[in-house]
Amino acid sequence: MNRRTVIGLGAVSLAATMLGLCPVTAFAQQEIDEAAFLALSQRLTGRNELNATISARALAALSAGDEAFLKTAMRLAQAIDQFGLTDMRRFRDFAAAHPDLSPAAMKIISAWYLGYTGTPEGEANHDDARFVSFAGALMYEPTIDVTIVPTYARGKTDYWVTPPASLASD
Amino acid sequence: MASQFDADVIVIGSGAIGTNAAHLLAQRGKSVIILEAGEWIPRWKIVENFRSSPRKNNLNDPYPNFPWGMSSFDEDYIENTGNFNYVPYQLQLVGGTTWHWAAATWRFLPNDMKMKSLYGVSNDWPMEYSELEPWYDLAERNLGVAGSDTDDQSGRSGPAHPPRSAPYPVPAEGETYYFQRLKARIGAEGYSFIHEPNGRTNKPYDGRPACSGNNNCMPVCPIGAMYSGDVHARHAEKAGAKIITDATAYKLEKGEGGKIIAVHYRSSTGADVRLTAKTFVVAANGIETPKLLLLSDVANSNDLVGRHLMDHSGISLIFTADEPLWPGRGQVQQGAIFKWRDGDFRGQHSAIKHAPHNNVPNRDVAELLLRQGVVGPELDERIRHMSARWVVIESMFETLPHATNRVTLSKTKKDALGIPTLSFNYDLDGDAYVERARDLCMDDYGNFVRAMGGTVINDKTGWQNHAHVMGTVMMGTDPKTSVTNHEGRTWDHDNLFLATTGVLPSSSVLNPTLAGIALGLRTADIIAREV
Repeated sequence: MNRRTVIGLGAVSLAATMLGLCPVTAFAQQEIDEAAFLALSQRLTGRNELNATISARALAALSAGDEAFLKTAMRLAQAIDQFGLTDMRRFRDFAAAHPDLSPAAMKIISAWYLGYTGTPEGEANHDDARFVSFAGALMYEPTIDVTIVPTYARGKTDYWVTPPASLASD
Repeated sequence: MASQFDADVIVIGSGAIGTNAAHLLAQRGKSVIILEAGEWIPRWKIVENFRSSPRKNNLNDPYPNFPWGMSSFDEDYIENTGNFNYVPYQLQLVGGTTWHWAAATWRFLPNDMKMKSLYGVSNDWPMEYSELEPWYDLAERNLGVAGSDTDDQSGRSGPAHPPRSAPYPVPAEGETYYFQRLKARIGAEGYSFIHEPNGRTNKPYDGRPACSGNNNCMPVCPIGAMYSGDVHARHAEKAGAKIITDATAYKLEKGEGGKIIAVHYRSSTGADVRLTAKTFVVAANGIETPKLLLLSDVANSNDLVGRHLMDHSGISLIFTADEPLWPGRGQVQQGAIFKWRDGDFRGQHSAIKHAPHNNVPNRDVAELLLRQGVVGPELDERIRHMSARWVVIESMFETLPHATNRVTLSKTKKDALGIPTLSFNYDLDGDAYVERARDLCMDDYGNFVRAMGGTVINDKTGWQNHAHVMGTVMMGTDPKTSVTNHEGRTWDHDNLFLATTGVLPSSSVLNPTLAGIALGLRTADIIAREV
């Protein structure tokens, strides 16, 4: 599978995993594929639905920065299945049991939340950072009723004078 | 002797200062050519470059970086020998570096221009504030500056200051809730909160829309509410000026009687062109301007070109408050906090400007939480909780002009056009004037955090670049100690003018671009009377 075919396949895999019953790894594979990576990403981010295009880009970025990533991610997915990690509130226990795999899990979660992989430089043009997503970065979801994804304004001039409606419960 | 010229005036550089000057000259009926090393790039492309960049905190990343026009963030373009890693942020495209400023457009105070006579440090400007005031007024109208007509910008809570001949062309935008709360609680501790005049219009102005809070002034305003130099590049063209892009000026040619007779530029394909004019204006940023002078061995008989580099070197503070403030709604910055703005203390230590930043904080918050290993529902909950309470204060210090803080040509490296790259020597550690201010700034930080019931996230940032380039071709009254006179005219060549923040002989704590534009307009007016 290459990145150009991912949109169609992503829709299929999304439908399958939305049932929530499929194990992350259906077959005894050595390297993770895009469908399994999407399922793994859903488990790690606690989302039932994730965008398959972004998922493919995250997988490409993570594996471009780490030759062993496809295999490590596969082992991670299998370990998650064996551990029965369905609720990320138990991730700390999983990480303690699998210290060799938890960094890969954090890399995947970071890619989804931050929308990039690697370490971006603030004042240099050369680094190992790779783009995953901007408006789809999960870090914007928890506040999207109050603040915008930068560049995508939703208010009008001076809307900022009034505090958000949620203030009292924030 | 040549009587035919390619133009009355050639302006080198199409940034905010060069295009404002070129526009005035074209309006006065002069034939004007503007040379620009980069290209026209439509706003939407820069916005898309930003949106698809993995390095959102890198202000130069959405902009061009070519072997023949390297970004100032390219490690092959910049080398440093001092104890601080100086990184200028200049851009090469039509409109210049104001594509990624945040459009803070303060006026220097009259006292800022008399540092030597009032406080015994730095330099006096070779003009009175009153001589520059009409040009500040024109610059503000060109940019559509929004400001408060009642604030005392000296921070003394007195009547409106500095003096103005006309109201701001655009009224101040409404205060963000975030700023209101900081002002209410920190202001109660004796700190002055002053609206920051800015070139981010909040009503339709000169073809620009009102700001709607896209919260992305740096690195690019997606709707062009924020002023950038491309506005007057277009105005200059309409007034008759000709803009030549892909034209890297690399030599000013000297003729008889100390005149400059031609500029030589090179295209990205290596083609060389020579253009003549009666008068030349180098408006190529505070870094690239001295570079061109050094390359050409002009205006430098006293060896001052490139020296006295000043920035508003500073530090910053990040903390979380004990109440939801919701930064990120509106523009990325709005005002300043003054305690150490002006007074006799300036003989001993830097003035300080604190600026609360109002960026959507989610990236900084999420990066921090992920580094701590926070995942799952707790990650989402804490992103919301902390983003609501996130406060960033960026502080700038006045720096003094030191001859050893300088930009020179690299002795070892050249770009793809065969033009030497840049070398910096910038020392901050050991400079008691700024170190004393840093200690006072840390006291202020303690007060801010306490007043907001806060928890410190980071108060040990170390020195930071602000890319407010000043001093590198400073103006003055004495040919032995300055590069230009008050007109921006080089002492060595009476038809060569410099229009750049590099002419500022003292730095204050104010973003210098508006002063550079005002001075450039004044220079253009002087040229228009002569040519």
